[in-house]
Amino acid sequence: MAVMKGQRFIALQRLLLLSGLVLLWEATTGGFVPGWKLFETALLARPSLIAVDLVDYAQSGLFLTDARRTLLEAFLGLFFGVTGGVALGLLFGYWRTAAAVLEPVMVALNSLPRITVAPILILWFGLGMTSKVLLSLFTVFFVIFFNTLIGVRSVDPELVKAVKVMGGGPRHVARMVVVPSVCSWIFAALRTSVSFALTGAVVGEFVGSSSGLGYRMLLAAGLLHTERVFAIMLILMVVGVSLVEVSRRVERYLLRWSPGFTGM
Amino acid sequence: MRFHQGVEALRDVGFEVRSGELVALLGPSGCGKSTALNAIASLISPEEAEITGKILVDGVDIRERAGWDGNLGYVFQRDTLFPWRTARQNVEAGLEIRGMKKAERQRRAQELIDLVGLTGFEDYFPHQISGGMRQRASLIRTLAYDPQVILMDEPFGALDAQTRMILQAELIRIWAAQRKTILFVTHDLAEAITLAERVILFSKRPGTVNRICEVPFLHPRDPFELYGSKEFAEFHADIWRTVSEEFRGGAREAAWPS
Repeated sequence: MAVMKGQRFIALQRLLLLSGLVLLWEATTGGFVPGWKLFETALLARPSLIAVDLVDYAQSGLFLTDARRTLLEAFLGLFFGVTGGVALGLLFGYWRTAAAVLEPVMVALNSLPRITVAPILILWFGLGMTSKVLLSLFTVFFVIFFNTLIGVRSVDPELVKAVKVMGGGPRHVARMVVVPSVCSWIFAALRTSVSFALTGAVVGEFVGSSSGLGYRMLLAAGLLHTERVFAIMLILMVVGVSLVEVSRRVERYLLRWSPGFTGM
Repeated sequence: MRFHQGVEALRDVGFEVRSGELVALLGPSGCGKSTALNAIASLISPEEAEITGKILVDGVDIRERAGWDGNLGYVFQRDTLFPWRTARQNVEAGLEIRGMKKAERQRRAQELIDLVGLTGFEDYFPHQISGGMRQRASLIRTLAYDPQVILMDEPFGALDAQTRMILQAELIRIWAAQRKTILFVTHDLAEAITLAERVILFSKRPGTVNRICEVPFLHPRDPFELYGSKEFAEFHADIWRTVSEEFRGGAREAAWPS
């Protein structure tokens, strides 16, 4: 009961703080006293006008096209990034020669700031969706790849022994030990991957595109249409938070056996 | 038996275990008791170590028989439950390997779960139950597929004294009822003579059989009663003279490895 009260109190405090900040923002951008403002509204848009623009944008039909495009890019990037990461992670995990030879390459590619490949991808694959899907894929791939690799390498030999003693063959070892063990590492990387995928798609659109949320945002910034920039940031924030929350719940369910998730 | 890295783990180890017997292997840490168990379980590959001599099961060398083929149970020191499986699913693992139907598997698992008092915890994951419960689950996971021989490597070593005694009592009860052949490794003399009909005393490395003694107490024993008894104390003191020398040597060697 005390905990509930505490939580409700914190929620209330958060709400008050947020409202306070928005009101302050509104006031300093000329929302209450006409003619008086602390910030140039071309640089810091007024919250009420952002809201109006958000509605405009939503009603224009552009929003649906843009959002659909960006989300599709992120989703495809996530899908292929995870698939590729798992496949190559397994390959490296079991094929030691390949791992020994190619691991420095993977480490080097991984150290490369992901976004730096964006221009070359645009150059190679044009302004369409492919280049964004690939950038998104590239950002997701390494997270999943390295986690899969660690997963394969950290399979508990004692558990393998236990299956063998029970009379299990390689098939049973795979099903009872290796797959669940590797999956736990992959699931643990899913949350990060989801937000990486979205980042990849949006940044790809920044660099060169003809549609999508990132493209629309860059366009608005160029026209000093600051309300639109903030509106899209708000949209991306909501999308990001929702996706991460969904993957957190999926992860919590799938890893419910893990000690780290007790009581959550 | 010698590992290829150069350590001779066991030398001239010869002993026999009768069918249905509960035998303890007692010795200081590092004397090769666990290695002996692993050799018996065919868990030591020829690439790891050279085993000269024979490990006979029903008169046939286990290495010629191509392993135990699942007719062996092994309860490890650290419970080796699958963390992603519930207690029940863990107990069912060996039956799953044998391709038993789900309904039958569940019935068999439930029987054993009830037998060791894990009822109500079937759907808990290993990290949600206590160490004692986890070892109970490990034990019945092994019993579930009804192996001919069960090897136990200090299975109660990580438990507190009270839980350990409760589990010793349970092991005795189960063994008395099912008469499995059990080879139980421990470094605890009291545990060895509480459980076993015979104690095989190992010397320090390279491990070899120092002495084999019959334990005079009648089965089924009650560890709680036995511990306080005069006969127990006398027998314990008698064997302790031999054991303590080995243990002292083992400690010295562990502290200053050559």
